[in-house]
Amino acid sequence: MSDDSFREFVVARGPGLTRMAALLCRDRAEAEDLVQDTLASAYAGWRRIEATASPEAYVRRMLVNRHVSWWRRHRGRVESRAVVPDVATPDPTDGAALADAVRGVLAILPPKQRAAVVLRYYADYSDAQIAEALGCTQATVRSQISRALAALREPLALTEIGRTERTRT
Amino acid sequence: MNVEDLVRERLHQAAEQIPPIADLPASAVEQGRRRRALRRAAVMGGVAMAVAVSGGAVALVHNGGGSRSVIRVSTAPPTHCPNDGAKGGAPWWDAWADTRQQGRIDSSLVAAASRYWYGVSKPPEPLCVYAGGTTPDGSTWIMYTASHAPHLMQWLQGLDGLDIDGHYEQTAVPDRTWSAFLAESVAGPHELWQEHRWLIIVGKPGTTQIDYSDDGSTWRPLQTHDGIAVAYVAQDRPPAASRIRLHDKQGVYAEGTPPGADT
Repeated sequence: MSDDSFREFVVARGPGLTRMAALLCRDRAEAEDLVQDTLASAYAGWRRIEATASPEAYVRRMLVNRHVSWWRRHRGRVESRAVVPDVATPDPTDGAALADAVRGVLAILPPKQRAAVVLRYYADYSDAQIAEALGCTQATVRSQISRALAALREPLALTEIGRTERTRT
Repeated sequence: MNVEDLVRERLHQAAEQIPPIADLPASAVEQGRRRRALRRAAVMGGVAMAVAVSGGAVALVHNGGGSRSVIRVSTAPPTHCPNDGAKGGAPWWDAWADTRQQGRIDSSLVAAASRYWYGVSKPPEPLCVYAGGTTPDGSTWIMYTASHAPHLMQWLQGLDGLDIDGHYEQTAVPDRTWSAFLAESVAGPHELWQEHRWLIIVGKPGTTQIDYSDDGSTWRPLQTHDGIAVAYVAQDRPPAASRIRLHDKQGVYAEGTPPGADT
């Protein structure tokens, strides 16, 4: 077992995994837990993961699976928001505010829809890859994404308008 | 801008603003070492049953060689059991004579196990599943060997068909008479090391009773079904002094330390 190779992997890929987790999760603390937990598992199986064609893809899949498992475990307690929240118009010069606004918009989605959207539009997964990761059919993936886009259209457009208006001033 | 482009752009913009986690490499290694130590400590013992996995619906059948039962699970990988068909594997294989099952065996988890080492880019790996079941809080587990390493007994835990990373492996040797696995609770909070655990114990064929002791002296008989018992562990691992004791018709035949207790 090479700690060095695992450390190198985490140094190189950890920030990307953290970004993905932050988009999948409701808050930063949950995202950090998800990343730490996933990497702890990856360390335990690093010998075999390292031997795969793409360790990063493998660990990403672990992260997504773990995320899905978590929300399945807590689905009774984790309710998606039934109404669209007020979307604060982000200041385009304030990247953190923009990130918060986008995550706020994503929070209106049920976890599985959010995961499907993140995998499709952030991780560039295919329908088949998303179906594999989420344990559902490709048809379900397409319908989930379709519903998600319908829900996101208005609030995301608001952030776009806000951004444009502020940029003009 | 259409909504798909907008979503894509916003996600990438938001992601760029996510700060890295401080000291992530060091903390990941530290937590990983702890988890690995826990899994390595998992005690492997004997073997039990002949639940072979192959194509078809879930059913009990008999092969032509005698009374051995096999479970056929849909969407599962092909069977690869040393004692399936030709005899002559390791001696302990022949001791497996009865189905060992506590609760349902999740065929999706079996399928996940067949891809555990190789991901989805290759065909499912042939497995031989010896025991399986469902924990009291609803996760599923299987105990199996895989064709790429038939000398390794492996355990895998899942939830709703997904592998949830409860996995360990240990060399299977002929004189082992029992095996145990520490399954992560799925009912509690997900702060990994603050959860309770389920200690799953599988005894050799003929096991009539399994006991567990927190302190090594006060024994608690566990409900034992088909040589399988599950103990509740109210913390992330059994206490250091904890012990497992297994009986057959002649009395106690084995006593040992549960997985995780000596780490």
